[in-house]
Amino acid sequence: MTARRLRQLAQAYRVRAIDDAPFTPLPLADQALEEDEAALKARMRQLSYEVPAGEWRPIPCLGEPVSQPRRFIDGSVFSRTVAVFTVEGRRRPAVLACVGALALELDGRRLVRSSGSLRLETVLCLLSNGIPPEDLQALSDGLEAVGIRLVASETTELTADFDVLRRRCWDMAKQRMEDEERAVLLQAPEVPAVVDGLLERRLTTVASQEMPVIGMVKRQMRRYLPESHINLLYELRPGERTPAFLLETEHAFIVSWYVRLSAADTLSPGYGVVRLTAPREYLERRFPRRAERWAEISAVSHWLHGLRHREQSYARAGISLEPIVRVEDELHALLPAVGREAAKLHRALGV
Amino acid sequence: MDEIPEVKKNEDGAGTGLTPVGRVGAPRGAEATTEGFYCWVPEDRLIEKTQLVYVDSPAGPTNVRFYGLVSEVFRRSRRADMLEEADRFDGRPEEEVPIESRGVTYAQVRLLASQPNVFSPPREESVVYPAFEAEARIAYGVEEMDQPVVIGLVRNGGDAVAGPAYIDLDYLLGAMGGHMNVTGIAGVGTKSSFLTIVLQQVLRACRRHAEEHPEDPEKTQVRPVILNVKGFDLFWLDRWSSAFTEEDRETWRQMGWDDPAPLEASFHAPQRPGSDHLAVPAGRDDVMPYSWSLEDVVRANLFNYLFSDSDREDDNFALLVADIERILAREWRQEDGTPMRELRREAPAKTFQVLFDWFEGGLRQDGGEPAQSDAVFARLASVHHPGTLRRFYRRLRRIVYESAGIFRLEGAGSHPLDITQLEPGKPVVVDIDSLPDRHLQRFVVATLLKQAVDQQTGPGALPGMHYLFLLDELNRFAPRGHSDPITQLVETVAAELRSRGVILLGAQQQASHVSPRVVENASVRVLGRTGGHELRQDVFSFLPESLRDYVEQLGSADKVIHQPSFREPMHVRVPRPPWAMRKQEATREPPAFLAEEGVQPAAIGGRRLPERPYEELP
Repeated sequence: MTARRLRQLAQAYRVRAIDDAPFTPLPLADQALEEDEAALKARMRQLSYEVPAGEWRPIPCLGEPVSQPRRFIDGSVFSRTVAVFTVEGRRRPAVLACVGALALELDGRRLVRSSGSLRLETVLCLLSNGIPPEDLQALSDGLEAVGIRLVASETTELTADFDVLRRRCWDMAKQRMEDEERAVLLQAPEVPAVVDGLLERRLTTVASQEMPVIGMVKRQMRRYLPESHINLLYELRPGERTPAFLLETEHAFIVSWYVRLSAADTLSPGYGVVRLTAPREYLERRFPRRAERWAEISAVSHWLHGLRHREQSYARAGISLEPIVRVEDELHALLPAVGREAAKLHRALGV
Repeated sequence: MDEIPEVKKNEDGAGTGLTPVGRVGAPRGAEATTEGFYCWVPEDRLIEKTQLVYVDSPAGPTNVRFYGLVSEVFRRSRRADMLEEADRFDGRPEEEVPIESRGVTYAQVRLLASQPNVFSPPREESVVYPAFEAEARIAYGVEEMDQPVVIGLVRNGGDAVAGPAYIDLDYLLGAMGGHMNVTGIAGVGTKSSFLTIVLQQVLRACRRHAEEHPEDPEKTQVRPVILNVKGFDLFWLDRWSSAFTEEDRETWRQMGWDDPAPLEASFHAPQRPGSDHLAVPAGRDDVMPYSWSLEDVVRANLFNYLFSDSDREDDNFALLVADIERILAREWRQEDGTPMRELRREAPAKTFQVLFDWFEGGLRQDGGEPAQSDAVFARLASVHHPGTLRRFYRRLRRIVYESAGIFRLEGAGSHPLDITQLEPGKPVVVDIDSLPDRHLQRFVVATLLKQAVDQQTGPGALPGMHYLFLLDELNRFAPRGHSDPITQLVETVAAELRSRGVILLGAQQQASHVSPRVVENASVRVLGRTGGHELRQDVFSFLPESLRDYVEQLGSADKVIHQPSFREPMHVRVPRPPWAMRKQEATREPPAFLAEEGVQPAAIGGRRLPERPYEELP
């Protein structure tokens, strides 16, 4: 019954199977805006959070962290544009994504996967404007029967531009991935963790601001430092950091600083620099005394520097942590092949 | 044959308690095939080369249990090259890294069998379990063997074993194949030791069958002939080995023999020159002599074998030999069709000495009216060139005079070996090493083989009877590229006579130096430690490439055995025999741990007396 209804819907919406990229790559300048969409709302709040702005110097990272991160969390999304719906006479893309999030925990020197630390799903992302709720429900039920979850959402700006629409679908998939990362993170909220990516996208509730989490941003698509302080980044040696500064994001204040994990003479001066973040609420509650707080930031940075990825064969070795790369490797081995899922979807829709 | 003992079945590994050893992986470049698969192994499990494993996997709609042998174990780290390995520690070995390497150990497994029998690979992610005795029996098809015989223990990793290792007598004694060929380098190869163990196990199996089935008119009987080719090493098989240990005895127990003991054998050596009934000194007093007179040679149709390959390639010489044989021998057939030969009454010579005298006389051509024998010689001389006649005379005289006693100049006092009269089940050891000439050694071998062939192919063939010839240094007796009668005889035995019950248990250091017809016709091929260059020869095409390095490094206790019913060669741990393989380790007394259990000393054979009055004996 469900299967027949699915095919009826496919006929009703004149669904056509395609196999295309999830979205069209944007020019670099636009990428900056697109990549850090949420970060646009983040802005420098206090450059002098740790050290007066005029006294900024590289800080060597030393010591053992009090809250040594033991969980390492990352997510992945593999997607394709797999179908074209026709809704109210206009083409509407559907993006199929295999999303997942995984946490590995450090046990001595071993990284282990604990029960509940893995979340995987296959989702079909579709903008739902103009589709009746009963049709959406039927579509959802039919897809669930073949192991695919429907993620449908209305957009406020419905355009005829197919590529803009599919970019929005991809954003839905990415959002789903971040939801999974959040769920994995919240599975053990008391264990100090490192999350790959923008922390502010993962910690969106008030309660989560007290979690001992460090976010690591590898690609610096936006600069928070004023022109006068950018050179300091280039002067950092491996294992050194900038003083911490305060950022205001959509949901909370986060403390941020830059650390150089590695350097190479033949590469640009910015190579090897990552931005680390931590919830202000957590840092200030856990380390109310400033000296202890700065010591903890240095110690965590030192600890993470020790975990840097050292194999040049990995494309982003200079800005990666070995445990995060392991998470990626395991996740990629666990996620189903999106091509196979697409074939399953097409068979179910009868297209 | 050997009963397959009741063994405790292992628990079914699927989900009921056996610890898995890994899972099948089949990424690109390491696909599973009908020949084998790869499996990865977790850090806390051990997998070893030569270990047996099994995996339950779907193959199409069917669930199949695959049995395999680990042929290699690999370890791969996550680094791309050695530079990265060093970079990981900043080039300093004392540096510590917070995260362990987490490489992967994986094994290459070659398939031995499957149940049900399918020609399909196992699926990736299937769980792999360690295998033990019960699985080893299935993997090597023991249940399908009609006549299984234990020849060692199945190796299952470094030190562990997986129960008795069986070969099927049907592949050794002729029903479905025949002969055994062993290759191994000197010293470490332990070829002779292994062959004697196989022989003893075959004899025990035959005895047991005869006891259990006395009514069987065609029960297998064996007349074993062991040819000694090195010192008098094999002349101590009836004595205990001083090197035999409790560990060895335990291995024999696992093989199903609780009270291993020396062989019961008789010993024969070339007759001592100048003596009518003593053999050459062999370090013991109970050795029987062997020798042939001219009459013995003619009667046994061995005249042709006296001459070498190079002589026989000369047509003129070969014709002369045939003519002389016709002059000497009379042939007829008995009522049952058995061909018979004897010296003619009117033959010009009844002994080698007289034959030489006759030739001397004929070659001198003193003139005068020839006697009848001279007329015979005159007829020979009219047909054959004087040079050929002289050559024949020189050759034969040299062969007989340099025979170190095995050819009797005079007719009396010869002791021709006749293995057709031997008691079945009791090995006879015949020394040929003390013969000074390799040609003489080949003559003796050919004589014995011919006796067996003649009986097994004649009307007097006994049902169920088998002649087992244990012969080392096959490169001497059937060398590659030679076509002399003895090589041809050995080739005939190997290629055509297994169904007639003439079986060769042969050995050599280099099979590539032995006639291919001899080596390739052996159904059971055994490898001890062998050199790498030798292993690359075509004669070892049955050996998988992945095992070549392993065979090059085999220890003296290890063998790799191939039988036609095995998909892959079997790795076998072979015990030290309880009998001595050389004089230095021979002792009448059993090892102390056996003596304590009441095991008796080895018996001594009867002493052969010298030719002097008894009063003068010491």
